[in-house]
Amino acid sequence: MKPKYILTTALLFLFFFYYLPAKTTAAANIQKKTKTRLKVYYEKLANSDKKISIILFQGTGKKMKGIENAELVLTTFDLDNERQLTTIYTDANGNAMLIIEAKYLFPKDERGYSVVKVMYSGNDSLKAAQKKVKFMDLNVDVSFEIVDSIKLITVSTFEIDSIGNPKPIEGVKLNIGVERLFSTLYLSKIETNKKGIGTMEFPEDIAGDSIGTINVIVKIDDNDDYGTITKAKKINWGTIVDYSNVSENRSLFGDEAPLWMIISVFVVLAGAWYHFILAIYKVLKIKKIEPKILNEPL
Amino acid sequence: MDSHLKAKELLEENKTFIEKPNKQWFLKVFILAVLICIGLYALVLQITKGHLITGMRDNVVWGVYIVNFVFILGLSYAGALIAGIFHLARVEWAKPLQRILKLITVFALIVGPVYILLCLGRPERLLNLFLYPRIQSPITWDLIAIMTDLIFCIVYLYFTYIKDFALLRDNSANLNLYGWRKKLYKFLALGYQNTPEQKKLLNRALDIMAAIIIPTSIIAYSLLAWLFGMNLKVGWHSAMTAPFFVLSAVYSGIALLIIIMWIYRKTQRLEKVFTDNHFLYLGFSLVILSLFYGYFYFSQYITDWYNIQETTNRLLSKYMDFSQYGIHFSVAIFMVAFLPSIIIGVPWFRSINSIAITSVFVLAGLWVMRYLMIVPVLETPYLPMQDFRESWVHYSATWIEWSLTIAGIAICVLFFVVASKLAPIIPISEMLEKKGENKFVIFYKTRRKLSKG
Repeated sequence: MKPKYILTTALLFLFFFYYLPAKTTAAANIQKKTKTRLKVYYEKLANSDKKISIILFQGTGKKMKGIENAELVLTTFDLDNERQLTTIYTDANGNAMLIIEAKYLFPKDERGYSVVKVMYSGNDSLKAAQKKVKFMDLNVDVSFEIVDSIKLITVSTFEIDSIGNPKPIEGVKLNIGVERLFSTLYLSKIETNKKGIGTMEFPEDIAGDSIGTINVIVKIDDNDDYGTITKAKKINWGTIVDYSNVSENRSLFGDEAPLWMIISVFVVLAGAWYHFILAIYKVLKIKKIEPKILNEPL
Repeated sequence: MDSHLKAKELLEENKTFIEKPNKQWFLKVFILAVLICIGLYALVLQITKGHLITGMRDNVVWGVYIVNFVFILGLSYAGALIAGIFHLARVEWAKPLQRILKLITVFALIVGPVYILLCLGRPERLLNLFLYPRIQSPITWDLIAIMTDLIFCIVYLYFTYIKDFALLRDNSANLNLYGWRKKLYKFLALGYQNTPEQKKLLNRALDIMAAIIIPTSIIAYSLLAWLFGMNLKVGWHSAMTAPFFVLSAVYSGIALLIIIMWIYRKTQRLEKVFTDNHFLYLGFSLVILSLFYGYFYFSQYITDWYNIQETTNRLLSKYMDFSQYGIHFSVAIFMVAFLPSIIIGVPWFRSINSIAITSVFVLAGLWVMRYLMIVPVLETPYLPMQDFRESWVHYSATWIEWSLTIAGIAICVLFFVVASKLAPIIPISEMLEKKGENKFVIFYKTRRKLSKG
């Protein structure tokens, strides 16, 4: 076969099996929009503010990628009427967050649930998505008491009914811990009784600050009905730890040098100077014992 | 031949050094004086116009001056350390090197600290360091260490000169000297006449001084290292800083010793004094020290490399980036960690000249490594510098700093030129002592032999 036929065949091969399918796929890709997903979480913060956290992303697993600067519309439902709450935008990682002040009360349905719907309208390449989060408003109270020199933390959980009376909630699982520098140190898990009350004995050996203050954290984690709720309250039940002295002694800016340092410097300098003076004394003695009659010159 | 005749012979051989200076000597002094004057002019400009005419700014507050300070003090402590060890170990072949080592020590210790004063924006506040010293401050430690070491080293140097001053006093009639010099030798010789009692006293004093100079040098240079090591900056805060400083100092000290030996051997024809063996022994020391240096540096680097902290990454990337300090780093690390093994380690390359030239490269490489230890670290703070002018973020030395650097070297060389004229550069009297004549007593006053129980 002549070379020109071989070359022509090769070019045709490339055209049919590589270039054309690639073009077709690219054209198909332009028309096909990528599916997007939303994750929405509800959380009641320690100061009773409510937080709605949202993640907008495409792909799953390792291919999951947040969608940046996307407009999200949040609505709530008052009976059958949908009411817009606000519009927020995602950050570079596809995350968005809305903090709602404690005084704002979400409308509830007949079972006491509140609903927030998050909607993403999509664009030329991304599909629209929406997600609802449903939650009930639970109140958590923390109180401290000492009974027979035993320190007790009492937590009560209740809902407020339609006429404003508290209704105890039984069987709520609570994590109780104390705030540390970087995270919470959890001490115990308890469950509320029929009266909506859970109690735990506070240990004696938890380190507090310079006056023993500790911040007790009570947390309900991702409850199906109530979402995540955090409550914090301070009490001076911790052991007193004064860090100021520790850093002061080791610092260069302290008022006084530590004793070991003063002694070390003194010993080293005294030892060196003693030997130095001894050497000088020996050399000066050379002059004293200079012979009267000269030796043979050096 | 008795020692008296040998001394006369050695003095005769070296009398051209110490006799009245010739035109060549004055020319050397003139050239050095010109360099020093340029430096003084730069100093006057710096004092009158402030640090703005240097490359130092708010962020990179230290530059070439502090590099010189650390480097020159390292040479000084190395000189003292090596001289002390050679003396106490009674290393016979090292006797001709003793005086050079001690001169390096003292001259470097005089010139080095001047550079730290040049870094001060308000030098008049230095007085406060003496008036209100804080014992817990590394700066106070350093001040005490430098002052103590300077006094000890000057006195130690003088002690080692006493025998030669006596020799010059007794033979001044045969030498072409100024009258005042003869009187000076008589005064400085302290009536030393080499009687057994005088000899014993002087040798004991020298042993004591050598014994205290060794730990003093190590402590003093470690204290200087801790000035950096106790700082929390990335690249400085390391437990290895002090041992690494001491190792670098000894390494640079040996390199400088070889260079000075080579200069004297070439210019003063001292082949009989500074023999091939001296170069070979010290050359191999250079190889071993280069390997240790490489090991220490690698240990430091690999530890930092595994540190995930962002500032550490930024600093290390500067050493590897050829648009920043990559070239400086690669060339310097090659010169200090590999070159001695290649040039001195391989017999085909090894010669007196190649050993000396390698020493020059090693010395230059160690200076650059000091620069890389200080300047890039200051350019890499924990919080990135923002909204600053380029000249404030990146340090670049000005002619003022380079002039003062050259002036400092010129002062050291001038000291050497003058000292060589005052007394022989080789310790003649010490070299004439017979082997085993001056024994060093370890565990002084041990009354019985331990083997007898």
